[in-house]
Amino acid sequence: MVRFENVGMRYGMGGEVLKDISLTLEPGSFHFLTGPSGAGKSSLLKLLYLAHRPSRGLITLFGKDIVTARREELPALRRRIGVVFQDFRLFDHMTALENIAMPLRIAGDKEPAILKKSRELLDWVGLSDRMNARPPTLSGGEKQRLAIARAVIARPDLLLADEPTGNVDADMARRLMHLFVELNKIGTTMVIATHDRVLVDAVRAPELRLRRGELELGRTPGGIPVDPLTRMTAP
Amino acid sequence: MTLKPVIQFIPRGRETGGLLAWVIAVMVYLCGLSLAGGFGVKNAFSGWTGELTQSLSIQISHTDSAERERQTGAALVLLADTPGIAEARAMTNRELADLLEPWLGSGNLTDDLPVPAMIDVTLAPNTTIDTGALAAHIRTVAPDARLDDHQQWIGRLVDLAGAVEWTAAGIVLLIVLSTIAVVMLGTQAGLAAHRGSIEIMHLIGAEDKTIWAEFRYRFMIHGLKGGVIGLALAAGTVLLLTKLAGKLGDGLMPQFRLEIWEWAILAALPLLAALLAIWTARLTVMRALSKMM
Ligand SMILES: Nc1ncnc2c1ncn2[C@@H]1O[C@H](COP(=O)(O)OP(=O)(O)OP(=O)(O)O)[C@@H](O)[C@H]1O
Ligand SMILES: [Mg+2]
Repeated sequence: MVRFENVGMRYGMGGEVLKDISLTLEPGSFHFLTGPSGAGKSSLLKLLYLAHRPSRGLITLFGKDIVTARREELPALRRRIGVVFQDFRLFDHMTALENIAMPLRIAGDKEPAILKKSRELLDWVGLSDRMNARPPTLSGGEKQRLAIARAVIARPDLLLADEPTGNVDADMARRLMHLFVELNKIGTTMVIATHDRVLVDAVRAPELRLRRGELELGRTPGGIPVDPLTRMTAP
Repeated sequence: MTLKPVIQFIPRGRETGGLLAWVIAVMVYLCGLSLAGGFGVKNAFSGWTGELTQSLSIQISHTDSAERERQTGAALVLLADTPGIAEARAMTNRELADLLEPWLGSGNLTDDLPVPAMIDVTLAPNTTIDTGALAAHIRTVAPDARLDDHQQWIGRLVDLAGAVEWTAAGIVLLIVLSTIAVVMLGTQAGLAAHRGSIEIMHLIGAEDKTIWAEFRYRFMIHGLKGGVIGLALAAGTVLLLTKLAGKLGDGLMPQFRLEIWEWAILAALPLLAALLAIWTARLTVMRALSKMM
């Protein structure tokens, strides 16, 4: 599903914020992406959701070489990826409902189906009574839930979430994590960047740990038993 | 090409687009006036020069009026036998007096003032005549005849008409260039104002054409709206001016008149303005999008 070979990345003329990253994510796998602030988690996700090109190395996504792919080929790949951005990136002038409907509109779904799905998902993340509210009037946690709903609504093959539980209480965090686990069960490959150790330990998925732009050896589950509920597998 | 964007992701009616429509209205107004003026002058001048090239005048000056009349008669006889000449007619004293009135004042033309005789020659349609040969030929019977084919006057008219047309064309070109610049600036402002939304659309997998469709629709609306307003104002101005010119009376001002295709170009200005706006906006948007990954 995803393959990195000796990938380096820099912003403009700056130094490398990611160095020599090599990793493989199997279809249906579940990974946490951890590391101290500034280690490069968001940057690595940017490479994955095709917002940035690597400065060196090779990235293969869905069997496609990203470095040589033509620009016109990228939107179709992006539509297979759901992203929960660290700063949400919601459409501030649209209602909650319109916000999460957008990926379905882009996918070209029929309007009645779009509305039905959007309402159901809003209900699921507990925002049905805020359906017509615009993001600037939502609380941090509500925005986060909306961002997650928009990322998952089109059933992406790959879900990338950047601190998806940073703004919610422990209860809601567990609930959202449960949503991710459920999505993973039906085949979505997951990469979740987080600082939340409790969460990492609860799900017991393998961890990709970044440190100053370098990938420390992933904590292979080794002796750790795979969670029977989530049936997580090693990378 | 669907006109309305399938996916709307930019809020409606909260940008500077209204202003752009007005700028385009002004551009179309100026462009319409320049074109109407340029076409009108061209047509008026070609009417004049057409009439002038179809006529010649022959002047016979001799102080002795009897000799003058003899030469005039001989010239008229000769002209009647020359092929390609539809009519040759001596001007009456009355007509000559009218012609000279602006210089001499009325009633000052006395019989003993030696006024040259004038023969007005109308050429048969679509003929050209070797005026040099004709002049030499006439001088064999009327040695004091001088032939004027208005060439000098026509030459100046043609020069003036050319200058007016080129000026009009230059103005139109400048208007087109300024319109392009204004639309580019407007598009860039629009891109900047909605940069966040565009980036999100891009990241969640929207194609360039989906993003462009939002802009295309806007620029088409602004272009058409501005174009129609500008054309209406230009039409009103042209009507008013021709009406005022008409009041000056016949003869003094040439008739304002346009060919069918010239009217068609004027009528198509709003559409052309919209197309120019769309084309410019498309280049600007696509160039900006291609800088995103
Ligand atoms: N747009 C940018 N331009 C230049 N440098 C950047 C940019 N974004 C991030 N960086 C730098 O790249 C490095 C990695 O940043 P990144 O956002 O990937 O860290 P992170 O692991 O996501 O941190 P956090 O946990 O705080 O979100 C940091 O040193 C940061 O300053
Ligand atoms: Mg980050």
